[in-house]
Amino acid sequence: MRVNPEFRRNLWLELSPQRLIGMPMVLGALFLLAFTLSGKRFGEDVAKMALFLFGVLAIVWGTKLAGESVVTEIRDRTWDGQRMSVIGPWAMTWGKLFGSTVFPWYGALLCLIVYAVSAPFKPGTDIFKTVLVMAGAGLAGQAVALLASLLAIRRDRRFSRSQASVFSVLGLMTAFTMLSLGFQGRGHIQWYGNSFLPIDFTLLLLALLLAWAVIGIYRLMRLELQMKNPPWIWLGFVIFLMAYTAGFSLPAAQGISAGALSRCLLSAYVTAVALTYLTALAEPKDPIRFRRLIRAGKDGDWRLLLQGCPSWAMVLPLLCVVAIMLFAFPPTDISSSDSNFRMAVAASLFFILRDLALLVFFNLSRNPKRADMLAMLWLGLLWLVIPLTLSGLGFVYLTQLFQPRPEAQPFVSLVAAPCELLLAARLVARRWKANFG
Amino acid sequence: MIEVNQLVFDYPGTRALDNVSFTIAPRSVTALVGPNGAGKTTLLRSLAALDEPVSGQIRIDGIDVLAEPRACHRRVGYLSDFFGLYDELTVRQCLTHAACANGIAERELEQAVGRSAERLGIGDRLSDKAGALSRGLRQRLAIAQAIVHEPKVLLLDEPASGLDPEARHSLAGLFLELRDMGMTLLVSSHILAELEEYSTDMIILRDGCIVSHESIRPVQAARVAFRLGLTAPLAELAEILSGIEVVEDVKVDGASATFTFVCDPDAQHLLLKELLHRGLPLRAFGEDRQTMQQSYLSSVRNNEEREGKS
Repeated sequence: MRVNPEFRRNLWLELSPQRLIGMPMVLGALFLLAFTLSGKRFGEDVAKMALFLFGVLAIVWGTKLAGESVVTEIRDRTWDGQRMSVIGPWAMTWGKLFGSTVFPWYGALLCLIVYAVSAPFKPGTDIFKTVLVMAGAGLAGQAVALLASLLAIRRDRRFSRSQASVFSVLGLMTAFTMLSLGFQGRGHIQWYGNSFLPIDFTLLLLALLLAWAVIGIYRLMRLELQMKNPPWIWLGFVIFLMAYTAGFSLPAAQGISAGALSRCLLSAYVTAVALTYLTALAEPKDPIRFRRLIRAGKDGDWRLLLQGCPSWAMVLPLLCVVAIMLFAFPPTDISSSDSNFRMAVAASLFFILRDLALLVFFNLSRNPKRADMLAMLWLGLLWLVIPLTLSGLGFVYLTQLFQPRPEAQPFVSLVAAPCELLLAARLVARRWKANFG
Repeated sequence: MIEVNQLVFDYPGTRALDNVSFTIAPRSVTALVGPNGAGKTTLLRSLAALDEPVSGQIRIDGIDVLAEPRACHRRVGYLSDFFGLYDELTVRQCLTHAACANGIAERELEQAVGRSAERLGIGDRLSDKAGALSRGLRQRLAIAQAIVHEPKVLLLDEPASGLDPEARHSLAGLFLELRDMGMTLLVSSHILAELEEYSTDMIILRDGCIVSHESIRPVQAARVAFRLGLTAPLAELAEILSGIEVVEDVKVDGASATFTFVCDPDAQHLLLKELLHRGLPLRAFGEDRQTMQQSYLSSVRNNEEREGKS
């Protein structure tokens, strides 16, 4: 059997004989301390210590190592050698994910074993599920940290150690969110009309999160290895996330009514909007990429065009489809009329396009280092500061120039939004011509 | 072996490579020279399929690099100017990882590692940690990693920086050995004298454009340049030389002169005899071989003159 070279390299680096001996000795000493402090009882206190140490090792340390694994290679100038190798994207994905964290996992698995044998039986506590949630949360945190680092290096390849800690924080947030959801202890979670115990729902969520995170890492690894990605997987993820969030709009088993369907659609629409903005901010928007796309378009190379198309642009057609479905099934439980709601949704589409145009405009400047920050500042002004000021001055109807509101006169928004989009598009065209034309 | 056609590479606000086209023959060693910022590293990284150009075509060993970058990676070895090593691994582990990552079968790993280490003279350092090596030894290890899988094309960005003169000389020998094994090498360097030892061709890159692409070692030239020196300037020197049959392109500069003559050794012997017979106070006579430095400067000057005229 052929050994994964990246995994083997990590084994050489991480699992020295001293470390292999040292880890159980340190853990053993700490468990002995817990055993002694609990009146020499091998029970709850030792189990708590095991879970705490698992958290420190797999979640805190593991996410740190996973988040830094590629960034450190770039900083140490070894990453180009890896990219030039024949290691495939899948081998690199699991080689990095499990290889960089192999030492913390060595200790963390010892902790889980100690927990499993020391945790006293209590009604409502399922040791096996607890172990699964803990391990899943650790893995999910590490996967998210690695995914975030791979996303970040698409924009800028130089990260200091302190900057790279942001990836660990994202991983930690993911892991602890999963743990708090899984161990919230009371109530049930309603999803698509089904009632789940928190720990069961967390296990399902962890499986889905892990699957998508690993797919995401694999796709970003492909890009690092100069391979192209077809857009379908990304679209699949967007549809999955829309369907996942829509599930919470159907809390009880009510069957499919028009009202329930519109609630689901609205939830899906909000999710797609959030994903559009998130990816628009996260992805690079450099003119070189746009130039390649223009060239592919001119050459009629649709495959290259789809492969190079920004993720946020891929979400837009889905957004339009959901918006059209919302036109057909407007919510029944809002105060505005159906036509007002439809106008507000249509206007929101134009406002989104305007915002994307502004993001591109700022990124096409000659010095685009803080372009996204500047764009966010402008979007904050357009969406919040100006409408609030106008509202404060008593010109409430004018706020619709910047915000679509179905309960007021969304016709104003529907006229204003395309005008603003045209203005933003003109700005983009002028800047492109001036700087890159 | 390497075909580049109309390659364009942009950085935001800067064109790094502007319609670069050239062809490199198999089993050649091409020196890639040019001032800082000329686009040498960008070109090498594009050839290594590490960075994607805006447009153009690159073919290496028949592979379309932009369409099949991974297939290109199998055929190419690349050493970056600012390379990195896994400092905590031993030399043996570094080379084993490089060999394994480049597709060498498990049963052949040890042999490949040993061969590569011996070629670079680090066979006795296999148990040392990479982080404990000197600058020169680190450079050798990095080159050993780049050639461990014996690629068809080897791209080297400033491979001799940090090496002492002895190591540089042995590096030249290694490059010639690799070429004789069938590899095609493209070497970027600032040290032209060092490139002269092993290069067969030279590409001069300036402001992202190719200024010149010429062969440094013409196989068989019909005429050769000569230089002679006198003990003192002689007014009629140009007239005397121009008067001799087959002597052409005479240029006199004080007490020395350059001209071209046929390659025939017997004819050259007769020419020297004739010059002495005419009583010229000769103190030096020999072939005027243009060094790479002179060739580079002359190409750059010619290019500047052309640009000035246009």
